[in-house]
Amino acid sequence: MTTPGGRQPAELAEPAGWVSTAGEVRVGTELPPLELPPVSRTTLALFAGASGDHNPIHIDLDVARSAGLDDVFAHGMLSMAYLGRLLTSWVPQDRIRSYRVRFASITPVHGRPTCSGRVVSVEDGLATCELTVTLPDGTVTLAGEAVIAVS
Amino acid sequence: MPVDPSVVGTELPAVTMTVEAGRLRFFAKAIGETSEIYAGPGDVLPVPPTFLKGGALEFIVKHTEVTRADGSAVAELTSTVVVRPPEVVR
Repeated sequence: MTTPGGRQPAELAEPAGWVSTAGEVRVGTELPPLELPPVSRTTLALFAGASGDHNPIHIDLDVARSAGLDDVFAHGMLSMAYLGRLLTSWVPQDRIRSYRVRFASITPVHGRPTCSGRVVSVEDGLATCELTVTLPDGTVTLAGEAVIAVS
Repeated sequence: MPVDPSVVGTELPAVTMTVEAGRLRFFAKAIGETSEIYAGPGDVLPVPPTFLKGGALEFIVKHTEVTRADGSAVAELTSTVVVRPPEVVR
């Protein structure tokens, strides 16, 4: 990726930790899991501003209660962003060919998400990874799939 | 059907935005990303995979194409919104 000014972003400097995709990715390979701290109200407030999703159901307890809920809950896109971190700490993002998720259940405030992924097929230089975000009680909050270029 | 089928094929106007590095650092902070790649100093940072998303209108399936100023592709986004019939929404 080159910008109009000719500068290149820092992403080309490869950090330790990215998988060397040539031989290390095969069916059954697990991505190093990403364990997040509990989702705080501060995180929800910051994510509302940073993402542009200002739906008050995620940040205003009064609104959540008036909708019949006990409390606010996390933005689905916050969990998708966490899963994105799982991917971009595993491979440089220009190797991500597609990334899709289904929002399976809500993440309550103070929930503690863990992101995990596993390679389920490698074909024609493309690895398909099955992705999940789970809570400590086993609830799957996000289920998804990413296709990564590995050669 | 809670969503009017006539919306299929609706084209939304193109939106142009400048993705500014400070905004990307704020996004990185919000998602706990501390990598220099996404949160480092400087005025050129990569846009992380989920920063881009479709606009405010929610249809059943919405396709969005994101391009750079020179027209080259950045991302193709698809969002699917399931709208339940009003009688099952409490």
